[in-house]
Parts: sequence; C-alpha cells; structure tokens
Amino acid sequence: MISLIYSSTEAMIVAAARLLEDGKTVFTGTGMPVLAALLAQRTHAPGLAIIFEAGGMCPVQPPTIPLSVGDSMTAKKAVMAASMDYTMSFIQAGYGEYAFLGAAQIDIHGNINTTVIGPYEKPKVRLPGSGGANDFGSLCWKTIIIMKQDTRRFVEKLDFLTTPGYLTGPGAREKAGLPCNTGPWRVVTQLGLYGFDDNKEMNLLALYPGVDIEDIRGNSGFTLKIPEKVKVMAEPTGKELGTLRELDPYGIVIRG
Amino acid sequence: MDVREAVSRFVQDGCYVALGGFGHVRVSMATIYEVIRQRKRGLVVSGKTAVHDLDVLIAAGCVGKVEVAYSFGHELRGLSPASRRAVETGRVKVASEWSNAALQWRFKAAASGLPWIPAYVMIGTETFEHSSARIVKDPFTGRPICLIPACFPDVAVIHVHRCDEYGNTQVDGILAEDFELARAARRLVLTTEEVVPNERIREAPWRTVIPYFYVDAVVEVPYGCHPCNMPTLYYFDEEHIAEYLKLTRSVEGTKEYLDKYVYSVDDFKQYLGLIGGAEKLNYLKELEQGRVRFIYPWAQPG
Repeated sequence: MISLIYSSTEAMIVAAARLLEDGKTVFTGTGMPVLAALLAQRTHAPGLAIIFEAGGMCPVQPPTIPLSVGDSMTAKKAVMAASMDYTMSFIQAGYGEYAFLGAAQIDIHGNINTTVIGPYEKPKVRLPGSGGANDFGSLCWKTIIIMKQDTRRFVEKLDFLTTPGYLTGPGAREKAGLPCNTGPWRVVTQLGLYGFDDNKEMNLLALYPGVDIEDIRGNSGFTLKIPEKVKVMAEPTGKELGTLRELDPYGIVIRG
Repeated sequence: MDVREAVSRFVQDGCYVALGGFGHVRVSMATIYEVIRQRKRGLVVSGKTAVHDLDVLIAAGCVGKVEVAYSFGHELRGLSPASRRAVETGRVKVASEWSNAALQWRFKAAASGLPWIPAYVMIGTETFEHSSARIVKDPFTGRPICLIPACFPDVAVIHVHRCDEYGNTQVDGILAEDFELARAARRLVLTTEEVVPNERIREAPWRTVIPYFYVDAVVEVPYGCHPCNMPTLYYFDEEHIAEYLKLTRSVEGTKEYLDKYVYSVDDFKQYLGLIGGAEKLNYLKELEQGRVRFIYPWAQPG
C-alpha cells in the first residue's frame, strides 16, 4: 500500500473540491479556489458551472490556470464572455450557489477582513480591499472560505470588517437587510474543515489525518466548538492528486 | 490624435481618472506611461480592479487618492510593493472603500442618468461605513436596502481591440466594467489595437459596445496593453512584470524602472523596442494561443 505524499495546500484544495455539487454554480477567485473548482469538475461534478466575476462564464479547462479573475484564461471557450455587471446581477438575483473567499482574518461568526492589518487610519499592512468578496459574502447562498489557520488569522475581533459572515449572530444578516438564508457555509484550513452551528459560530466538522485537537485549539484566537467525537477526513486519493497536478502543471499554486 | 495630445488635453492634474479593463487585463498602459511622462500629479483614481495600471501610476507619484474596491494587489502575484509603501506612509490616501459590484454599479447609475442605484451589497460592514453609500428603508418591501451613488469620472481611458475613426468600438472577450464606464465618464479616451473602417462596424452593428457619441479621442496603439494581457491577442509578459515587481521593492529600484522604461523613451513604440521588440511580442501572442510553455519568474523564491 503506497502512502501518497502531498502538501497541505493540495490537501486543502482536495477538501474544498469535495464540497462542491454537480450542476451548481460556483464563483471563484485565483489560486486555490479555481483549482478546487476545476478539480471538482474533473472528478465528481462535471456539470459544475465555474463563473468569474469579471465576466468569464464556464470556460473549458485552459492551458494554464488564470492569474487574474479577468484574464483571457477565464473565458477560453466559455459559454459567455459577459461583464461584471452581468455576473453580479446574476448573484444578486439568486443564481450564485457557491462562492470561494480568501481572508487575512476571520472571526467566530465568519466575518472576514481583507482591507487592513492594524488600525484603518494608519495600517501596518494595507491589503487590497473587498474586491468581489463583499459581493459574494452578501449575495451567494453558500460561501466557502479557504485560508491558512493560525492565531493571527482566526481572531476574536477583526481589524476591519470587509465582508459579512453572520455579523453578530443569528438573524443579524436578515435584520441588516442582507438576503435571507445566505452566508458562510464552510471554512477550509490546513488543519480542518469547519461549519457554523445554530448560534452561527464556527464549529469543527472534521480534521485532516495527522492533525490533533490541540493543533486546532492552539491555532485559534477564539474558542472553536469541537464535538465529542471528531471526524477525520479521508486522505486525498491518487486520482484526486493526479488530476490536481495536471490542472496546475507549472505548480504555481500547489508548489507555491 | 496621438497619446501625447490625448493625455495633454484630457488628463489634468487632480482630475478623477477611471482606467478601463481589469487591472492588468486590457488596460491602456500606453496612456499610463504618457501620464507619467507628462508628470501629472494629484490624480484621483477609481480603484475598481486596479492592479498593474494603478501600481505604476502610484510608483511614479502621479496619484493623490484612490477609491478602493480592489487596489494595491497583483492578484495571484501578491501585494504590490510600491503601492503598499505609498499607502502605508500616507503619500497616497484611500478616499473610500467599495465592493467590486458597488463600484461597477456606480458607473451603471451614471450611465443610466440616475443619481443612485439600489443594491444588497456592502450592508452591515465597515466597507459600507467607509463608502458614500446610504442605507434606507425600501418603500416597497419595508426592508433596508443600500443606495449606491453615481460616479462620473472626469476621464476614462479604455484600451480596445478595434474601433473606427469616430470611436465606434468592438471589444473581444469580457467587457469587465467598460460597458458602463464608457457611458459614465465625462470624457472618454480610447486607445485601440487597430483603427478599422466605419464600414466594418456597420456590417455587424450588434458587435458595437461603445458608440461614437461617448468618445472624445481615438488613438491607435498596437500592443498598447503591454505588459498586460490583451485577451485573444497577447498574454501577460511575466518576465517584465517580475522585473517591475522586483525593482519596485525599493525606492531606488522604482526610479531605475521608470527611468529605463518611461522617461528615457519618447513614445510607446520606443518602449516596445526595449521590452524585446517583435520577438517578445510574438512570444506573447503564442502564449495567448497556448502554443508555448508558460514561465512565472515571480513564483520562484528570491
């Protein structure tokens, strides 16, 4: 029995890919998310519709992964080369089933920060800002946040609330005016897979083989809900890894 | 008209500029280099999805303020060192925060002749608090809704695949935000890969995405998007972008880059000679067609 060797980046991408459903729409950015979407398409979800916010809708697998959500690879043999107004109206009308988000910081309710580290007026690090994140977080039915986990990222209080998760807790999104039944659904990190409980607080659903509970607890600035019996994810299969490595032949993400 | 005249006439110090395309896709780099050569100052830039376009302007000291939806980052390549330095030291101010849809819909409101447009984005966040949007009670549903104010840039600069001498334009590939932006700006400068006869436009009028009414200047600049991606024509010049990102890690390196590629040349044609000329451009065309190996110098360590 050969033991497969894979990086934690690859493990995260495989875990994220397994979440996506055939026949649904997914909005994705560059990097791990687009690879997760392409991997899902090549494995269990051939009818997955991959859409890029700048207008590329359902491209056929291009010769290299997109470097930009607006570059020519996002529209190679696409169903439609539209516009940002078109795709954002599409999700606002309810057609955005899944969306991937990254985050510099996340809190227990899945609110995320991609604007600044440090105080807003004089940031230690100025990050790019919302981009399409706030739109996906506001309008898509199920967002999947894919990010590294450590105490600087899983924080009690965000330096800036860029994109809405569940805001302050149950009912807060709807009260504020966001569409009902939308919000963050899963968080994928290099340590585990998380969901949100009835209090709209992050809880552990499964961890990767080889990770223990202390790793999970020790790498969070807030108290994560951990069940009595913790599930362990199935390892990536040879097929998943092989397909993934074909999708990123230059290794710019999986070996990054 | 040439780029020099277009910039001189339509881009003034302190004006509000919106760049077409998508940050490093179908952007008018030829115009951006000329703005730098003419030492424009204090520009207010719409950071709609601003990547290489804005970064070079910031590196050259042309920018005073940015309205940010996505700025200061190079997408998969990481953060932009020159932009980060400028914002973190306060040389460039962030005027407001937006989401991509919100900023796009500001242009949509303007293009529609409306003062604002309603949407469900930005609600409940600090992004909203740092924007000029308002939340009101929707008189029809009784629920909160966000009103996004129109944005009328003083000038928009858009690089396109082809247009006629009047500015009737066809774009291949995604439009990103240009369908609305072209109609929202007070002045519109088009740089085009190719000027075509009016008859070509009239043969397929459903392909026109910008009609002449909105256009103030047409400038023919083949490869005008280099080093960025021109969909269907040429791919990113990753070697050049990697050189830029490496040099702009320092103030001295930034000066070196600008002296070499912007200030020491009179026009964009001379610049194309410096970046590798016909051989490089052919390579970029083959990359776009997927016929040669991709290389990512910035993905290597060090």
